[in-house]
Amino acid sequence: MSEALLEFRDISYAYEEGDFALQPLSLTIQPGERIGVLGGNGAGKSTFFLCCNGVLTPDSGRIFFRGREVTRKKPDLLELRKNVGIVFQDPNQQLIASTVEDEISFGPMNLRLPPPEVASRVEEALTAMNLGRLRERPPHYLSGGEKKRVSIADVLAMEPELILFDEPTASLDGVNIEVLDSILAKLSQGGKTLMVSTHDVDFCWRWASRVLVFRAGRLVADGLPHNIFSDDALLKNNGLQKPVLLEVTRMLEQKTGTAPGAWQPKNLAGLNEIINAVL
Amino acid sequence: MIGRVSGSALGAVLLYFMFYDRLPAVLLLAVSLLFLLGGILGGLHHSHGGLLSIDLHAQRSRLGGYHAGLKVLVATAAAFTCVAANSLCVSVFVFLFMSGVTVLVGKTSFHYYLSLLTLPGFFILMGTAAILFQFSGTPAGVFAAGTGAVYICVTAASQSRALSVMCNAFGAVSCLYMLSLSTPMHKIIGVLRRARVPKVMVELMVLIYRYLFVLLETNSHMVNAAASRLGYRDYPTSVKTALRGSRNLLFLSFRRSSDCFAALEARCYNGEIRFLDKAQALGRGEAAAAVGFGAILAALCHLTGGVHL
Repeated sequence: MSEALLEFRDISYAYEEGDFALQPLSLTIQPGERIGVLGGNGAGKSTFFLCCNGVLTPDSGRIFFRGREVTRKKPDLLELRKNVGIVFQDPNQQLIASTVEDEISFGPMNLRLPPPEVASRVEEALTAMNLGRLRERPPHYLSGGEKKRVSIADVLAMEPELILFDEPTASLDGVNIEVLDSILAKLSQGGKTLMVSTHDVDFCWRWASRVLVFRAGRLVADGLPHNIFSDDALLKNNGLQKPVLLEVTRMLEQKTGTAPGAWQPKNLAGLNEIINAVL
Repeated sequence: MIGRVSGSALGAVLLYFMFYDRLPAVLLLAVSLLFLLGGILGGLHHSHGGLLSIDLHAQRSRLGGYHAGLKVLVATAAAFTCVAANSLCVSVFVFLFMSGVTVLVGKTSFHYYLSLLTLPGFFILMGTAAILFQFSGTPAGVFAAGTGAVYICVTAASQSRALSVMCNAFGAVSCLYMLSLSTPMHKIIGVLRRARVPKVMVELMVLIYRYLFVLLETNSHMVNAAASRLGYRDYPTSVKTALRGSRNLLFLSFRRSSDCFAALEARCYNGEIRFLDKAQALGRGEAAAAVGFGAILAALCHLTGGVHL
C-alpha cells in the first residue's frame, strides 16, 4: 500500500463549545483517489474541507500529511494549505483581485515563489482553464462559468496534490457542468487527488472512486460507490436518491433475473451495452 | 427631465450673462437659446449608473494599452497646470486636447462623454453663478437688476473671473476623465503601488474595488427580490423595505467578510495581499507624444504669463 496522502485521526471541530460541527472522525486519503462527498446542507462537508487544509484547526485529533504530523504551528499549517487547495462554492467568496491574472498570481505569490516562477504558473493555469483571452478582465465582468474556472485556476497555480471542490456544480448551467466534468477528468489523469462535495448522486456515481456520506457532522458512510448506493437503508436515512443509471440497471436485473450488482454501468454507453446484450 | 431642463436653463442664463456686453446682443441670445434647446432636446442628458459604467468604458478604451504611469503623470500634471496657470488659453487647450484624446483616440462615445461632463458641469455652473452674480447696494457693472435696496450685478471683473474659474475647472475635469476613461482601476492601483504608496492603502483600494461590485450585486439581487414581492408598492413600504434591505446588507457583509477571510487563508494568506507585478515598458511613440504635449503646455503657460502657485 502506498503512503497515505492525508490522514485524519479522531478529528473534531466545534464552532461553538459543545456544539460539534464535525464529530470525531478518522479517515485516510490515498493519492489518486476521486472522492465524492455527499450530505445535506449543514452536514459538515464544508467544515470538513476547511479542516483538511488547516484553515480551521480541529479541537481534537491529529492530522498527518504524507506521514508527517501537521501541528498547529504556522509553518506546518501553511505547508498543509499549500498542498491541499480548496475551490470554494461561491467564486465571489474567493476572488479578490482586480484582474484574472492578478487573481491567479495571489496564491503563488503567497508561496513566496520567485516572480518568473509565479508568471509561468499563472500562464499554465490560464492555459489549463482556457482563460488566456480573459486575463486582463476584472472578475465582476465574467460569467458564472468563467468565474468558476478562474477559482479553479487560482488553486491549480499553487500546484497542490489534493484539490477539494466545494459543491462545484451549484449554480452552473449544463454546458459549464460538462466543462467541469472534463476539467475533473483531466486533473485526475494528471495525477491529482480530488475530493468533490456535491448533492448530485448521478455525478457521484459516474465520477467517484470512493464516496463519503456526512450527516449532522458525522461521517456515516465511507466506501465504494457501488456499496454506498446499493445500501437502500443508508440512502433513505440520509435523504439520498439512488443514481438513475443504477436504478435502471436494477430494473433490468430484476426483469432478466440477473444477480443484483452484476452490472455497474457508469455512463449511458455502459448501460447501452448491457441493454444490447440482454435484449 | 426636470433636472435636464433646469440644468440647461441655468447654463443658458450663465452663458448669457458671462458674455453680456461683450458679444453682440443678438448673437449672444441666439447662442444661449441654442444651448437651452440643445440641452433639453437630448444632447446633454445624464445617464443612470454613469459613474459605474466609467469602469466598463475604461475596459473598452483604445487608450487602454498605453503606459498607465504615463497617463497618470500627464493627467495629473495637466490638471495642476490648469489650476496653477489660471489662464483661459491653457485651460481651453487642455480641455480640447484631453477631450479630443478621449473621444477621438480612445473612441469613447462623444454622447457618453458629454453626458458624463454634465455631472461635474452642474456643480461647476453653480460655483460659477456665485462668482458671476454679486449683490450690491447700488447698481454697478455691465448689468444690474434690483429693488432699489439690493441689486444683483454683473461686473466686467466678475465676468472674467467666472469665465476663468469655469474654464480651469472644466480643463482639470477633462484630465481626470481622460485618465479614468482610459485606464482600468487595476492599472491605476498598479501605478500607485509602484509609486511606493503605503501598502495598506493600495490593499484597501484593491479590496474596495473588488467588493464594491460584490456589494452592488448583492444589493441588486435583494432589491429585485423585494420588488418582485411588491416591496416597493408605495412610499411607506419602500422606506420600510429599504431599511430592512440595508440592515440585511450589513449582516451579509459581516458574514461575507469572514467567509472571504477563510478563502484568503486557504490560499496561504499571511497578512499581506500581493499580486504579480508586471512592469509595462514605455513606448517611444507615447513618450514622444507626452513630451510634445508638455512642451506646448509649457509654451502656452510662458506666453500667457506663467504659472502662479
